Amino acid sequence: MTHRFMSLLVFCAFFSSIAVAQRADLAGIKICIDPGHGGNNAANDRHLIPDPGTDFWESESNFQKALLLKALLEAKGATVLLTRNTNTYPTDAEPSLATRVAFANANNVNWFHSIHSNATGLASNTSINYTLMLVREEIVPGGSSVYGPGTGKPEKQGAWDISLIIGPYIKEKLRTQRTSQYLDWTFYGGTNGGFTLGVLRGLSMPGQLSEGSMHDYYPETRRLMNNSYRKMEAYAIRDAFLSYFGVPADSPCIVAGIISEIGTGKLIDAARVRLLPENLIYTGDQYRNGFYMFDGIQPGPHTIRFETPGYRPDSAQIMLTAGETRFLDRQLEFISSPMVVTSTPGRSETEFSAAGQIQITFSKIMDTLSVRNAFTLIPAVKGNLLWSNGLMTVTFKTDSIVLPFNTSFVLRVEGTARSMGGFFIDGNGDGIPGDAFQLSFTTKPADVWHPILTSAFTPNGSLFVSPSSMINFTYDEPLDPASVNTSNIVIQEVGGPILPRTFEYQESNGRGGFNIYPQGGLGPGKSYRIRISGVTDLSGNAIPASNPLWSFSVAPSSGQITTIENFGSSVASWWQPATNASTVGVDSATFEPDSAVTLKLFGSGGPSAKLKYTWRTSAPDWLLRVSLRNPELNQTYWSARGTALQLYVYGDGSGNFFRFEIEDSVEVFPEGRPENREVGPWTKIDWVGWKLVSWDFKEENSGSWTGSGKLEGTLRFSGFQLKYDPLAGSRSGTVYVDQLQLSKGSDTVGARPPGSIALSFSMSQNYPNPFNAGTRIDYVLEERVDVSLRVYDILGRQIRELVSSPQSRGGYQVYWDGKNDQGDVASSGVYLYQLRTGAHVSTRKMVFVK
Amino acid sequence: MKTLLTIILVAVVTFAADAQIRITRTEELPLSRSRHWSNPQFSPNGRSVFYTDGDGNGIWEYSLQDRTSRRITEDPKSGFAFSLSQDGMSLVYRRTSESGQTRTQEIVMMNLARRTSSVLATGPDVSNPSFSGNTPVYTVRSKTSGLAPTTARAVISVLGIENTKIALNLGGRKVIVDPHGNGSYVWPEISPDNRRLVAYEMDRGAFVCDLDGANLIALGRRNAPSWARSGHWIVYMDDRDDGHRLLASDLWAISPDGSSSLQLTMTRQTIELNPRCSPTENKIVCSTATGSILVFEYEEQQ
Repeated sequence: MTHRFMSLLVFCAFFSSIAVAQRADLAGIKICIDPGHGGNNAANDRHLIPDPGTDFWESESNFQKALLLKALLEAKGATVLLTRNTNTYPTDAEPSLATRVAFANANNVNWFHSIHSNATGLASNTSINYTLMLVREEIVPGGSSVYGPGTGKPEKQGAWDISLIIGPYIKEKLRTQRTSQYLDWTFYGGTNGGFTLGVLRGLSMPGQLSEGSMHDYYPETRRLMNNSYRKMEAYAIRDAFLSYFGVPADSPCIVAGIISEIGTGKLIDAARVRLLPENLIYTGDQYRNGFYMFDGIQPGPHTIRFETPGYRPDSAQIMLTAGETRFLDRQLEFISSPMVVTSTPGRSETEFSAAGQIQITFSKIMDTLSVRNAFTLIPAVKGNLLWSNGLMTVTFKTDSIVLPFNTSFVLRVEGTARSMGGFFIDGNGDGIPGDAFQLSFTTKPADVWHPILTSAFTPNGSLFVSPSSMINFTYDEPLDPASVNTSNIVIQEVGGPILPRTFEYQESNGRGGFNIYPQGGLGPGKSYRIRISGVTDLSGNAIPASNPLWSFSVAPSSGQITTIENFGSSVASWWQPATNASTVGVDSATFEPDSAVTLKLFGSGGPSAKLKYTWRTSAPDWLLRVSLRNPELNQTYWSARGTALQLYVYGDGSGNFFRFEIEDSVEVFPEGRPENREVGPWTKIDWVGWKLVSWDFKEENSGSWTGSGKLEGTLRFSGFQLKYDPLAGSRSGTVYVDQLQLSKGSDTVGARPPGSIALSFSMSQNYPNPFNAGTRIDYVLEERVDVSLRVYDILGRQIRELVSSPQSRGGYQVYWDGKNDQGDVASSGVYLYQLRTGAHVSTRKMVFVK
Repeated sequence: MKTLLTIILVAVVTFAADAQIRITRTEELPLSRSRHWSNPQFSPNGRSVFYTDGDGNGIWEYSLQDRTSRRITEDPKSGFAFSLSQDGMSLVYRRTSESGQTRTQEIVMMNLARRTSSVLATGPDVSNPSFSGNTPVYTVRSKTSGLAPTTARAVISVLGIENTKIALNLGGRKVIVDPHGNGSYVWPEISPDNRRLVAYEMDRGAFVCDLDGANLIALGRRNAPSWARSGHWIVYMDDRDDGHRLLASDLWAISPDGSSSLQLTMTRQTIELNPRCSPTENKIVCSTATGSILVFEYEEQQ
């Protein structure tokens, strides 16, 4: 640096200290705002559905925040550029992280800020909501821009300093629990395999990234659907820039809050709030957040009136000081009669278990005495009413063990029952209070049937190839757990001793199942017999003694086992099923570690992973996908020949279906693509308890999904899927998984040796499809060959010749812009594209939409 | 160093023959590992590679002829914005310094032979400098200096990005090009025959068009595009990320009409970034995520 330049800097620094203090606005400051992510790709754009009909995309939320922030900053004189000006990318061609950095540099901006929201990665975030600021860390000389290591210091002190303002400001405006600030490499692992934020690397100016709040905390998810709430974050960031650059703060004020219902705490949709004397009205949204907000309000006295239809009006007087943000939450009383929301049994139920509990849930907090006086059950049964759920749910507890068998009952709650607030019930839901709620039901006859075996692992007479040493039997009804004991269940080596054994009994979806664990395991090459006698259902009906005895053999060798995933204390490396774009027809689904149900085969049995799901029965299609975030980080690769993918699945007896998902040809497409995702056959979950589910590749029995249906090249695990059976499946259930492994016969299993590429001919489905601007066709040639790639219409007429030349071995991408050979844009419709080589012809369909 | 440190990074797939482009040789420049290097580009005569460090603090030159490197300057942020004169004798760059909330930028002109420099302009926001022939061009407070229509009619070059639009020097006349209409652009580069332009629009991806923005051909997500000297291919990076971190990047080439593309590198362990083509030879230079600089030789077959 020259002496002259240094002198100039000293002068400028001195001058700037005066200038900053006197700055009236942000004129002359050029800021690049990056709305993080982009488009609607669930893999990268953080998609959550907290409620049916509420689709949260972080990319859209970030984009709206950025637009709002741009307007606020420009109103203060700043020049603002956005790295993206839309959230619609038909070909998923949103700008990459490097592109965003290049854009900021090319425009010589003074500052860069990337807007995001955060997620815990937990299966269910029920309480965590904080703000996080990330600043790029200085990398040690000679380090990697991606993998560090860092020095523990910010690369730009200015970015660190302004982040110390932005974080607390966002915390204040969004009322998050706390704010934290980290250097990126340190935050993302540090010495334990850390990485840096791509959107901050290579910037020529200070830059930082804000994670305003937690979008996987559903109350926050719902608020983040609201543009006024997003504007609160935009105000926070703007105010931080004003503070950092020494611009006086705004004097207009903000009034905001959350409106909920007294008693239930339910957040009120379409809440209506009036601000006086300005007479401004705010009408809330339909996303179950109860949020309202007024901005640009002058300081002084104001009246806030809460005027939501259906609720008792309320109001408050407030005095606003200059620049203040005032939060005013309110609980309103619902003007309506209480109604019965749910009941057990349901109306006219004829198969109600005599051991079942009668339960009614009201829509409001109830006056318990009035309900007790209004409650009748005919014929009369002695019992008591027990209250729960904040005095909204009442349970009838009989004095006897069970209700009378095979009896028709009428349950009534007279119209004199009333809520705590004094509203009489609207028992028949006609909108008029004071009429009774009534339901009829019939209890089932006494049980005289013995349990029927519905599933056995391993089947009778089978060759047991698993090393698991665990057997499962599942029956069509619950069993008496006390009868599942060593006296009634015996396992004996043929010609040998009776084995010591332990049991696990479990019930789910009306079925009962038990696992048998032979102590000391099963011996390779040996045969065993099982005798079951004296095991009963809850009514004492015994399972007939097995005759002939249940028998099976254990294979001489179980092959080589490679553990792919043992589901430790975290499932952070997996996408939550509800956020997966392929998941459809689901009301809720969570995937989280669980220590209550463990697989006891291996040592003490570590945590398993619990998948809890509820299907949306009204949906036209159902698929629940649980997949790895980065399958490419998985180090286990294999070829199809002689191998089997295995997973212990603790079934829920739901009658729904399970299957594996893998990626093939990963040596050609290491990033993994939908066209290379193959699936195994569906397995009906008709068992309760643990069972080893296996996809044996020797049989090449793959299913049909986004891939070709044919297993090609090198394989790796990517996930598993569940499917609802609308005819026989349960609407909800819980399955557990543990010990994902690869069982190898004769083929090599292990890390893929670098550079060992075996190419085979293939042509992938075009992407995107359907498309409008253009689409990409990928194919692989295994040798040098004459290639023809042509597009035909549905009548077989050639539309466009894309390739007609010899090509060498390797992977190719060809782009079709939707134009014909004459250069005119083709009509919308279905087209065929056909790849011809010397030995292969492959044809696929695609849809062009203009 | 007389002996080349040659590393064949393209270990896997080779493409051959028939309107193809393929890498034939890969060399990692033997640079000091004490820094992370980035943003390389060839000199106008193709005999040197100019580059900077990971923070853009300084400019270095590596001679492909005598295999030596030298530091040109260590001025702050100079490596983010520099340009070489057509005769290769001069370098112009922008240096930036921040003090508190104030940024100061200067345009510095350097004679590479004599290693003397002079400050041409100063301000809080000065443009990325370039050359019109051998005359430095830059913009300060909306006033562009260095363009002379009467003496530079044959010169066609990219001036840079101005207010998100593409600024071109067409025969000494500054022309703002906005092919998409209200687009936001980055990475503009003029074809070797001076007739076409490749650039990237932030919401629509890369494209090729005439110098007036007409006859636009969309190429899709092709990042950091750079014309091969033949004009038959545009080399670009296919960088992949998960929205937070860079995961992978390989080099590809696409024909200017967008009809076909070919993968040039398939190196999972190496993340190739920001390729630039030599104006005089079949060479590509790029940086990597680990801070090395690679020079590729390629061959084309028609």
